[in-house]
Parts: sequence; structure tokens; C-alpha cells
Amino acid sequence: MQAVIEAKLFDKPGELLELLEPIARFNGNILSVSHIRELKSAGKIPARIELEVPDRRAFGDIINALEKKIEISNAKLNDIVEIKRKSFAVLLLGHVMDSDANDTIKRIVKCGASVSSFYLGIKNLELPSTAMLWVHIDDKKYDALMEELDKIAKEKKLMVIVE
Amino acid sequence: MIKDDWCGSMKNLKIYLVGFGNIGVGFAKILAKKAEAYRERYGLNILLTGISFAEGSYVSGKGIPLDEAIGYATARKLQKHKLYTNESFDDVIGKVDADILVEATPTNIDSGQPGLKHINAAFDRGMHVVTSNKSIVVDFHKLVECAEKAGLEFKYEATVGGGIPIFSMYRQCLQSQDVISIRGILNGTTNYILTRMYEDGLSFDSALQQAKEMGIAEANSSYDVDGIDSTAKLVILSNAILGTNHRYKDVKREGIANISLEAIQMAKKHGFAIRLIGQSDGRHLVVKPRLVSVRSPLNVGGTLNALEFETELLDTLTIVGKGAGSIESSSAVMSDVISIGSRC
Ligand SMILES: NC(=O)c1ccc[n+]([C@@H]2O[C@H](COP(=O)([O-])OP(=O)(O)OC[C@H]3O[C@@H](n4cnc5c(N)ncnc54)[C@H](OP(=O)(O)O)[C@@H]3O)[C@@H](O)[C@H]2O)c1
Repeated sequence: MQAVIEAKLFDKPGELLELLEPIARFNGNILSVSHIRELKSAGKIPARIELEVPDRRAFGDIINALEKKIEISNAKLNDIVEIKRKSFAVLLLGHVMDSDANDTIKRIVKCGASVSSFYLGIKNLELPSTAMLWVHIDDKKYDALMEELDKIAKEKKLMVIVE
Repeated sequence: MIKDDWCGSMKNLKIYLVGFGNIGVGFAKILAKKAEAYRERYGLNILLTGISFAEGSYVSGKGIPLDEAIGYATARKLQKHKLYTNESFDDVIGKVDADILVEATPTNIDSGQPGLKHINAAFDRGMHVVTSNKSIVVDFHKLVECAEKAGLEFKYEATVGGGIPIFSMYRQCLQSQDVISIRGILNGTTNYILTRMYEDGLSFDSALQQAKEMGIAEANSSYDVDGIDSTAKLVILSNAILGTNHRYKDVKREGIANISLEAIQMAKKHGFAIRLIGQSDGRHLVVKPRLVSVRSPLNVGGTLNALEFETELLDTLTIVGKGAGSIESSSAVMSDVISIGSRC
């Protein structure tokens, strides 16, 4: 069976190997690999692998193993989309900590998203702060997450700026 | 149809220009400079047979001498011109001999007036219409319908993206496919402010002040800063290109006034700029500040505008250019006029 996996890799040694190792382990046969440094965005480089897998189960095993280590953006099996992920940055402006940043992240995760990094900029606890986070979510759940972010913004008087 | 009015192998194309400010004068300046080229290239002898402004009008069946009219407008002495009468648009529209009305009065997105009244009156009298006035957002589909019913042309290239040929490109180059969504930077003033914050580390207030001093922002900056201008343009774009029937109030809008320098710097550190982006997929219309990767073709600086079309067959297509300015926007008005003159 023909498969395609697209992922976003950190620009550091060994990342590409992390992607290739589970493919070999579950008997995938790599046909081509592209890793385009020129398209680096937000510190990550997109990679695309075309491969053959013995069956659907092996494909599932490969995806499960990969998801533990790296960010998969798309995956197709026999031209049918199995995974379509959106990964994007979100900037929060306002009293991010005072309005319970922990709760904000929990509500994002409750929509089915995962949050991979969280950066906080505070000058003074009295003043509004800025936080930046990276969110990953299945394409189908994206609209619901946007609605939740709107709600969070209104309730907590935050400005939410999405990529 | 343009009335048969030939002068040798030359076709006279008579224009009634309503609004003689930045755009109106810019249009007259382009015509003064390029009239000969248009005669040679297109066989079009373009004449201004009427000009109206708030306090009066000039009318001349033979064509108003352009340099003189531009001179009086620049000196703010319109009433000193020998052709000056205190007649208003309502007096002139019934008697002026014109094929095309060029409408360039101020935008009013609440009532649409006086622009809508001018455009409808021109259709009633069998004139084609070219406009730079975003008031068309108030009644967009009705105007398109009126023009179609009367067999007249209605063109509005300058309303969005100033001099960037957005609607012409769509009509002439994307016929083979559907446009799925549109997004972009539709307002040069806000983009200038965000650029100064990003590049020079200015606060929002200082960047706005600088934009005012340079004549890029109005004294009352709310129209730009609160995203009102971008919203009107997004509705025109979406209705014209995605075939939607949206109104101004259907758009979710958020401006840039609350964006702090810290936010811009945090975004910058991670490879992003903040831009005010209007976007429509035909269902949801939103104008909001967004993080844009510094490598994205949409990440243009200064007063530039950029527009990205997601298309059925071409993937994405981005066009960038000057989104405002008297000469830039007037050049789009002139292109609309020539395209009508060349076809009719
Ligand atoms: N400037 C740009 O870069 C740009 C770009 C794209 C689109 N636009 C749009 O194009 C339109 C014109 O812009 P602009 O910058 O040229 O504006 P402007 O400099 O304010 O000029 C407006 C003109 O309209 C005249 N006017 C006002 N009310 C009138 C009425 N009831 N009847 C006849 N004339 C009337 C004004 O006359 P008085 O001078 O006597 O008041 C003035 O000559 C606006 O809708 C604007 O949004 C502008």
C-alpha cells in the first residue's frame, strides 16, 4: 500500500532519523524523502516521505510511534487522507496569568488540541502580559477550537491572535 | 453602449467625474499626461465633459481643459475657474453629455450616500459607472443587478487594493477555476503602523502619530485602525469574487489599537509579524490581527497591500502592490474607463 507522511521537524541533528526509524521498524519501505530547509518556519522544517507499507495495521503502528516523537501534519494511505492536522501559533495578550493561564490551556486541550510550547513575557505582574503557544489540532476540530478561543478572549478580556 | 461619436478613426469617450479630490484630481492628472497615448494605443479620445464637487460643477461638451482644472483644484480655488457654476450633481446629471460616470466622492459605509444616489442616477440615464467609492458595499448586489438589467458596465477596481488589479485579474485570468478563499492585508495605514512597531520598536501610539505626520493616517484614525476600511473592502471582495451576498455587519471585526509592542516583539522572536488580515471563505468573513510568518508572501511591509487567493487549480496566488495613493488608485479608475471604452 502506498502512503505519504508529512511532518514538521525541529532544525536539529537527528530529527530526520527520528522520523525514519519507526518506518523501518514496522516494515515500511521508503520511496522518497524530501526535507526542505528553505521552507523553515517558526523553527521547524517540513518533511515529506513517500513509502510503501505492508498493510493498514503497519501504517497505524508507524503513525502511532511517530506521533509520540514528532509533529505529523498530514498522512495519506492509498491517496485517502487519514490525518490532516493544523499546527499554528497563538498569541495571547492581556492579563494572561491573572486570568488563569492553566485554565486557558486546559480549555484548548479539551477541544482536542495539543499544546507543544508555551512562552510567557511578563514585565511586571500588574501590567498586561504576552504569551505565545503552539497548538496542533485535527482539521475537523479547528472551527470548534476557534469558537472556544473567541469565548476565552471575551470572558478573560484577552486579545487572541492566531497564525 | 457608448453613443456613436467618432472623430475620424477616433472614438470620443465622454466622462462625467463626480468628486474632485485626491482621486478625481489624480484621474485628471493621468488623463492630462496620457491622453495622447490613449488616442494612439486604443483609438480613444477621452474627454471630461463634466466635473462636480461639493460646492459646484464645471460642464463643457467640448471637454474641460485639464491642466487649468487641476491647477484650480490644487490651489483650492475651484470657484475661480471660468467654467464654474454652483450647480450640484442633481442639476448636472440631466444635461451632461457623458458615456461614463466616474464616481469619486467620500465613502460612507452607513448610508452609502451620496455615492449610491450618483451611481443609480447614472444607470437611469444609460451611463456606465466606474467608481473608487467603497460606499458600494451598502448595496453591492443591487448595483450589479441594475447595471446588468440596463446592459451597462459597472466597475470598481480602485475600491480594493488601490492600484492592484484584483478584479481584472480575477475576471481575465482565473476564468478556468473557482476561487475558494481570499485573505490579505487590505489597509495600508494599519500595515504601516504595524511595520513601524516591528521594525523600529515604536509603541502603537508613536507609530500612529508618525503615520499622521506623514499624511498616511487621518486625524480621525478609527476608520483605518479599527478595521472599518478593511471590512468594507473584504465585503466587496467576497461578494464580487466568491459570489457571496454579505453585508458590512456580517463581518467579525477587530482592529489593531490594543496590540502592544511586547506582543509584536514576542511574535518577532518566534519568526512572525502581526498583520491586520481580512479573510473570507465565502461563509465566514473576518477582519482581525493575525500572526503571519515572516517568510509568507503575505508579510509585506510599509503601506503595501497583499492579497492571497486560494484557488481550485493554482493552489495559492499572491499579489502585492500599493493599496492607496492618489495616482495609484486613479490608475485603476483609468484602466476601468479604458476597458469600457475599448469594448463598447
Ligand atoms: N485617496 C485614496 O488613495 C483612495 C484609494 C482608493 C479609494 N478611495 C476612495 O475614493 C473616494 C474619493 O477619495 P478621495 O481621497 O479623492 O476623497 P477626497 O479627497 O475627500 O475627495 C472627495 C471629493 O468629493 C467631493 N464631494 C463630496 N460630497 C459631494 C457631493 N455631494 N457631490 C459632489 N461631490 C462631492 C468633494 O468635494 P469638496 O472638495 O468640494 O468637498 C471632493 O472633491 C472615496 O470614496 C475613497 O474612499 C480613495
